[in-house]
Amino acid sequence: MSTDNRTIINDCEANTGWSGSDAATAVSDSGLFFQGSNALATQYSNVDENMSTTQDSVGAGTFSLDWSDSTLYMIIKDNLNQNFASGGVQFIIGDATPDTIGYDVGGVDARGVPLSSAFNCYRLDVSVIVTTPGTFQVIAGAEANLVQTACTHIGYGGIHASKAVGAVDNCWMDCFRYIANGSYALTVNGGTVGTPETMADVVGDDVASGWGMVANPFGTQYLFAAPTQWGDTGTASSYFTASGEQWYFVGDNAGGHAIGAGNFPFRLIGNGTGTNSWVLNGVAIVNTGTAAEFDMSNTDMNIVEMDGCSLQGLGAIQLPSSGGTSRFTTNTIFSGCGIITSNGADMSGSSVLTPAISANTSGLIWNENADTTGLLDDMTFSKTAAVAHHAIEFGLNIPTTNITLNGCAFGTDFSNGLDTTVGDETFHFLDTTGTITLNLVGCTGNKGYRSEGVVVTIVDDPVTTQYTVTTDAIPPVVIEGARVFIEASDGTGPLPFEEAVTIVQTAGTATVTHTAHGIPDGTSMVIRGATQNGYNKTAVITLINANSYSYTVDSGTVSPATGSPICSGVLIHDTTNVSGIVSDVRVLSSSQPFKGTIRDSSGSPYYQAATIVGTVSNTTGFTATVALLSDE
Amino acid sequence: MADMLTVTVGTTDYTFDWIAQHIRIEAGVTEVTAADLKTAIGDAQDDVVAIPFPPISTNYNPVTLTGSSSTFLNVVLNDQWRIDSLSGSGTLTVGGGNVVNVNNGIDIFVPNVLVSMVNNTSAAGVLVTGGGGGTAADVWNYILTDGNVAQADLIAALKAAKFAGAVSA
Repeated sequence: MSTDNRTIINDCEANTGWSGSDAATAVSDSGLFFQGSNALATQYSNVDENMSTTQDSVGAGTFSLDWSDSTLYMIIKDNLNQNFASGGVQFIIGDATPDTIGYDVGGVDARGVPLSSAFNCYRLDVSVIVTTPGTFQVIAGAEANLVQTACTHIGYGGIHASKAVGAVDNCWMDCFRYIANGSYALTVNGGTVGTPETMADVVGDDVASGWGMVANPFGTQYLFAAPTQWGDTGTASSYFTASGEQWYFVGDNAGGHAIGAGNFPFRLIGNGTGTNSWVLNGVAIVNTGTAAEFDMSNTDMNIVEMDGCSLQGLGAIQLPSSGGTSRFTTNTIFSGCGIITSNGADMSGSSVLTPAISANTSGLIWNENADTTGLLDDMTFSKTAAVAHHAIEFGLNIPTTNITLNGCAFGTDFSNGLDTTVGDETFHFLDTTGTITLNLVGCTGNKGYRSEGVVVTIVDDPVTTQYTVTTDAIPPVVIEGARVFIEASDGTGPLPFEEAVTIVQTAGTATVTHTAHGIPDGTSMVIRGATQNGYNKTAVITLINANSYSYTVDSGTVSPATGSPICSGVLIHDTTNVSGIVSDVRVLSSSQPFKGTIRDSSGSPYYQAATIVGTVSNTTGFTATVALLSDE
Repeated sequence: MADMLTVTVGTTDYTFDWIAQHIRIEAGVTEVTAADLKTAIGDAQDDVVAIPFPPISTNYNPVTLTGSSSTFLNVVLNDQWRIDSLSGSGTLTVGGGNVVNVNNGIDIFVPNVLVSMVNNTSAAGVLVTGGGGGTAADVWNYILTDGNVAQADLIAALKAAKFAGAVSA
């Protein structure tokens, strides 16, 4: 079921109030009308001619309407027009003065939306009447004097490519409508779970009612001429589905006059009572002319599923919110679109390619307090040439600890710069304070970032080292609180192994000079061999630079350290959680041999210490379970 | 200092120094049992300070041989770990089990001319409760007749008995 939300100003069923270059004659021949049962026939020649009316056919009187922020629609059958630049098709409006102007909207090269019986739908967005495109024909008065807020005339004008011969009508006018900008001209709802509404149904309604808002010129191709919403704003349920179709959002008249930016919206809208469902599979949506904005984020939409689709040239897109019965936009290509905002639903496998956005903005915005793992997996991003934009913007509401992207491809056009401000870095973090770790697992391409203040750590291809500690009982019981210590066991891995360092202490901060240590900030080192025992410990380090770091010691520790202090990298120094697990996630440039110990002997039940050795693979990590023997 | 840690078992403080590899017994203490020493070592080894260092000792827990006898608790100190009394006089006796060093045998004390230190060890390695004697035969009987014995307990019993001289290699 579909609904036309526009207002008819003249349905061309009768010629009351019509005047102009010729007479208007009501005709009812099959194929000569699209709406109702009549159209108005007239004759245009190869000079500028026009017909207009002062009659509100519904109200059966004259009218004076504010169209200053409205879009007007007319249905015309005329295939002899000059091209757009020559004023082939004109949308006429006028005021009471009269200032009557024919605004160029189309022509033989800009046919609007083709309807059945060779009719076409043309639109005029009055809010951009002069600027887009700004050409017009003055029929009476002056264009500058036209009072858009009190329009009293509407009609159709044009220039034919060839001179009329004889007294034969050669064009037909059939219905003039308008709707305020920002409104949705077409509502699609209805359907059932078993028989959801389809585009064939929508076009069927359109033809039956003579709307001219959608068309199905052939096959599975559908043209949208009007802002459209799917769903039910009352309390009812609605179900819509489409598969393997090609949709065109026509934001102009297939060339010619274009709708104003922001005045071609599409949305999904549900309600808190019924079930509203919108399911697309393998649908390609191409936007021409003014970019259509598409809002799918309404949380009353129970089901929003879009898989294997392609959206090209749309404007800003709000993707579905998380939650609901089922919401996702997976394996979908967004090409040349405006800013895409994820609202938490899964969009794995999708692509954001060459977006039509401005500098220092991002193709995709993630501003959810949730990890991106499983939601943005395996996505592909590409950059628009000559625009310094980002791939992903992380907003102020993201988690405060870490987020993970899996299997994403960023290409090489985004900047690799770390904490730079060019505007073309791959990631853009809007937080101004705190710290955030971005884990990139299996991601390719450049991975630079811009930060508005938050301290960003990018961990590229981390692997997990994990031990589970249990008893030796059958079945084993996990041990919580067992202390696990794992350090580098030789110098073949990326972690330092017993490397000589120098240490000085000031105000309780030990500063270690350790050439090319390669240790990330916030990880642990074990220091041994200093004569001053205060330096010898396992410490979480604060990174200073590639050759130094610091850690906390007693402020009374004699400085500098003497003896032979050496440092080794520590993979894990922690106690097992309630599941008996300790783990570490980090990037390893090569596999890391390790040694260590697991102990739980400070309270009953006592366990014997276990010595562990192994190698953490830099591609698959390391996972093992250790059973501690009782020591009682 | 980072390489030292004091733990308390009962009323006795044990201070562990991982650099010197000394277990310091607080002044005034005249007797330390192997069981308390094992508990103190366990406490210390499980601490954040100790985790980077190798285990201080390897322990062999008592294994019941018969209703009236069991092997001793054997605490085998690793590397060069020794016991140091902080007393300025008197006696320090270590007993209630066998406390030895894996490299130095019964020589487990840091020399101290002011304190007389005694390490009560048993070559038999069997503790008898209420009379009756534990012998090598008891060990073998235990091994051969106890159907529920765990492999780890078997190994521990054999090691303990071997260490105490009850069985030979």
